Amino acid sequence: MVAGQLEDEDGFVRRVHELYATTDAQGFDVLRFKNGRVVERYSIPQRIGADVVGRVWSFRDVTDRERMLRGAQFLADAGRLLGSLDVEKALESVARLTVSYLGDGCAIDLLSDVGGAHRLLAIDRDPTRTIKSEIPRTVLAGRSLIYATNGTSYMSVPMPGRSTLFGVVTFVAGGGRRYTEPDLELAEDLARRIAMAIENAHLYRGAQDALHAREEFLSIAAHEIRGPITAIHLAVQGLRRGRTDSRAGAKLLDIVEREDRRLARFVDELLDVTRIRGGRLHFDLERVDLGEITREVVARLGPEIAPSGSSLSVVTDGDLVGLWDRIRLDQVVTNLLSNAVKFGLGKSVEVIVHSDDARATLLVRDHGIGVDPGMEKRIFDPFARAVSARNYGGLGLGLYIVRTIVEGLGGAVRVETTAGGGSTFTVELPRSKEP
Amino acid sequence: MSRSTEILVADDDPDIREVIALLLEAHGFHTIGASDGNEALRQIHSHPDVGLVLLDLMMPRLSGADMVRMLKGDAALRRIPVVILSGDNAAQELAAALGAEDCLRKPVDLESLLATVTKFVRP
Repeated sequence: MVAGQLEDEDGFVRRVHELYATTDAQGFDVLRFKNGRVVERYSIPQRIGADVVGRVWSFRDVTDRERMLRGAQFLADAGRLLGSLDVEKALESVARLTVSYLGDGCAIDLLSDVGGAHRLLAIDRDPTRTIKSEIPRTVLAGRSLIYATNGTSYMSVPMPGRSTLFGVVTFVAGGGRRYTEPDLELAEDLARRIAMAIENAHLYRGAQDALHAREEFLSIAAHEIRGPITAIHLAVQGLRRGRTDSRAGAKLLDIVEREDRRLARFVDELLDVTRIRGGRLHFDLERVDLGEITREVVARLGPEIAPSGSSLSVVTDGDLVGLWDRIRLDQVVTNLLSNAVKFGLGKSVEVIVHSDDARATLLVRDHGIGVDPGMEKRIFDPFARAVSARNYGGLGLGLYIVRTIVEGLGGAVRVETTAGGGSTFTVELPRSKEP
Repeated sequence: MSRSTEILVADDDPDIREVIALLLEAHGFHTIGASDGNEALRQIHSHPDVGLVLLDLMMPRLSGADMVRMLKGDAALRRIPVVILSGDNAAQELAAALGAEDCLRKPVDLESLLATVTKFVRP
C-alpha cells in the first residue's frame, strides 16, 4: 500500500476521507515519501450535468523540482552562515545544517602544507560511528567520490583552494539513503563555498595580524624615539639654566651627542627598511677586511657596552678580505654585537672571525636570555621580536636588516639558541659574490 | 614631606638616568640609579634614605608597574613616594591605579621635574 511509504500516513488517509465526505470540494496536497520522492496530488469532482458522479485524482512527481528548490535554499542558508568572520563557528553551523539536509553526518578535514590531514570538525547523528579520516586517493587528486561501506553511503568532496587542494568534506548517510549525482553536485557547490570562506578567513586574519604588527611597531617606535628626545630635552634645558658645573655640563653635552646619534640610527633603520621593501638596497662592493671592520665596531661600541657589564673578546684568524660593502657590513656587525650585549645579561660575548678560500665566517656568541623554541626563524622577520618591547627596547628591525644585507651579499645568517642558554649567530659570506 | 633626600632614578635608558641625576644633583639633590625593577628594589633595601622613586614603567626583567606593586605591598616601604616617569598615553591612569603618588609624561620639562620632585623631597 502506498500509505505505508509516506512520511505522514495518517494525514494521507484523513485527507482522502475528508474529500470523499464532501461532494464538490477540490483538493490539492503534497505527498512526501519516506524515500525522498515528492508527489503533488490533485482531486476534483467528476460531474455529469449537475450531478457529482465521482472524483478524478491526478498525480505529478515533483521530486526533482523540490530537490532543486531545497538545494538552493540549503546553499543560500549555508552561504549566509559562511559569511561570518568567525569561520570556525560558521563551519560548525554549516555542518549541522548539512546533517539535517544532506545525510546524517559531516566531517571537514584540512590538508597541511607538510602533508597529512587534520580533522577540523565532525558531526554525526550516530554517536557510535566515526567518520573515517583517511582521504581516498581519488579525492586527493581533486575528484569527488560516492562510495558505500557496510550499508552506509558516503560522499567525499575536495575543497579546492586558489592554488592547491586544501581540504576534504565527507558526508555520511545511513538508514537506507544512497547518495546520488544531484547530491554530489550540491556537495561540491557547498565544498567550494566552504573553501572560499576558509580562505577569506585566512586572508582576514593575515590582514588583522599585519595591522596589529603595524600598530605595535608604531607604539614601539614612539617609545624608542621618546627616550632620546627626553634625554636631549632635559640636557638642553639643564645647560640653558646654567646651574651645572663644567664637568656636569660636559657630560650633558656628551648625552646630547649620543642621543642625537641614536635618533639618527633609528631614522637610518627606518629608511633601510623602506629601501629593502622597495627593492632599493644597493651595495657598493670593494675590497673590505671583515676583521678590521669587526675591531672598528667593537672600539666604537665600547662606551655603550661598558655599562652592561659584558666583556667582549674578539678572535680573528686568516685572510679576511672579501668583496663586500663596507658600510653595510659594518651594520651587520654592529647589529649583531648590539643584540649580543642587549640580551647578554651582562655575561661575556665572544666574536670569532675566520675564513677559508671561498668564505668568511663571523660568529657572535652570547650567554644571555636566548630565544624561545619556535621563534628562531621569526626573529629575522621585520618588526618581529622574541621578547616583549616592554622589557627590551629597539625597533625590532636589526636582525631583518642583518639578514637582508647578508643575503644581498650572497651569504647566509643562522642562529643556534636555547631559551636561557644564550645565542650564537653565524654569518657566512662568499669572499666574492657569485653572479 | 620626607626628611631624607636620596632620590632613586629607575630607568633602563642609561642616558635618561644620567641626565636626570646630573640635573637633580646640580639642584642639590642626591641620587642613586637602577636599570630595572629588581635593581630598584635592591637599592631601596640597601639605601634606607631613599625619599623618592622616579620610575620608568617599561623596564626589562621586573617592570616599573610590578615594582610599584611590590613596593606598595610592603608595609615597611609603602611610605616611599613614587613618581611615574613614562611616555605612555595612559600613564596618569596607570599611576593612579598602581597607587603611585604622581606622574610625569616623557618628554618632561626640567621645570615640571623639579616642581614635582620638591613636592616630596627637599635638597
